[in-house]
Amino acid sequence: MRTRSLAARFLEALAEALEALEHDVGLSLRRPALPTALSLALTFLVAFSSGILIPAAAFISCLLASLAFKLPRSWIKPVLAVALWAGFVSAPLAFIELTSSGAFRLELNAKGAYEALSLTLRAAASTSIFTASIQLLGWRGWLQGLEGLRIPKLLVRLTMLSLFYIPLFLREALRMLLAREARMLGRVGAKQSWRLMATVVGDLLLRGHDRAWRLERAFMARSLHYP
Amino acid sequence: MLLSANSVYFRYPKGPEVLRGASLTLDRGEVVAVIGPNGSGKTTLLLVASGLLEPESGEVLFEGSPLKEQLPWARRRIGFVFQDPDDQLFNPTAFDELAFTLRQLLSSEAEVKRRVEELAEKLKLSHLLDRPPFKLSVGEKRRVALASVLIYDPDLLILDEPTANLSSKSAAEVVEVVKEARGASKGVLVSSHDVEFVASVADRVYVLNEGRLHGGLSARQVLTDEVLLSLADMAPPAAFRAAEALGLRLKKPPLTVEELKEARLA
Repeated sequence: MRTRSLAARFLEALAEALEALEHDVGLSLRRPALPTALSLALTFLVAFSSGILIPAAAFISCLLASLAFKLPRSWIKPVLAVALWAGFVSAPLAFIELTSSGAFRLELNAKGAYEALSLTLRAAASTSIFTASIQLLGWRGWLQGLEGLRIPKLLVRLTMLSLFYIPLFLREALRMLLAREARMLGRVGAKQSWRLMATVVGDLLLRGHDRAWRLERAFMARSLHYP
Repeated sequence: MLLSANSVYFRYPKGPEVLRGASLTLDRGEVVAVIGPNGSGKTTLLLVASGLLEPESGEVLFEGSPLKEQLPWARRRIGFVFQDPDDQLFNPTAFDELAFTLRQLLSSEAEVKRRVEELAEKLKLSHLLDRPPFKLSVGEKRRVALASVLIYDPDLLILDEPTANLSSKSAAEVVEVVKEARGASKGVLVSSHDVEFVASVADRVYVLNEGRLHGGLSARQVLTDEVLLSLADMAPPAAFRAAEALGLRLKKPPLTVEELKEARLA
């Protein structure tokens, strides 16, 4: 039995990570604007903090909150995905040392490693605050909160559509990739798989344009103010 | 006349001409079906008839006046159900789908909620209201798409292939909705490949072929006319074929099993 290619598994994991966010536990709040503002403020604070204590504390607090409110454990998936990516991107920092003369030296150093860890923790912690607040408020509550904060309706609507369509497009890309791989004879290596992915991306762009056109008709059909 | 399209021409940008002088009429309390082969332009015709696409030439009249001049408020009275429900559903939950147009009409969210729950109860959608549309099955999506249009009680319903990919039970529910709309003096314009569905609901049928509409006659006349049906790439309804195969000489060719049964008993 043919196993799924790396590209297919990557897409599936990404779609699952995003779909994990839409589990709508949703506390019913009459005014979700304040919790939304709080979650946004905390996310930014943690993202731009220095050191590792604040992000570590934020991450642990989110873990405790998820246990207290019995949030589905799936919220950890996007956090791990972000942590993995941030760790991958920041890993070179551990090997870059700034000398007193201002030049760079490639050598494993404690300061660089600390910066890499701090960056990874900040990314993971700010993601965990964001995802935990989404799980608590629910997407609807969070979007209502944004409206309550007087964020322009157009931006809120665009955010809603992004949240709606990104997992859909990922799933569609996965189906397209699997359909292409099903017609490949023999084992699909990493190189072939990524080449197929490139054709999928091109196809998605075209389909995206087509879908956007039909989405516009759908909006028009039920909008009493859209010309 | 509720809706009329007169000599409509339409071409997509840099594409071939899809509609070439298509004309149709539809009145209140009438169900008009448009049949035709794949790619004949049925969806395009419906989009033009609903004002979602503007024809190159020709006109679409809604209650005797140009539809173009009545938009966008005329959309309050026109309900369009897309062929692919994924094209139509764009809100976070099924509740929001049903509430979308109502929220533009009503200022009270409580009233919106009441009406959504009432219709969901009637169409057996209550258990789906909190779910995101893309997590629903095809049949459930179709029902939500239909409900999102019925909720604001339009005078004209336009349904693009409403029974495609539906089980016979779900298709029967769509038939009931169409009959109920006709009974409430609404106009219903449907496009379909499903000859049994068309036979069970349509009062008149047009055949769209190479951008032109043919027929516009009664469903019985069109669905038993081999020439017209060949233009649509369709076969007559099973009941008619059964009657022919059995050599039954009936005054009124049956279109449905019920009609065949009645004719045999008579």
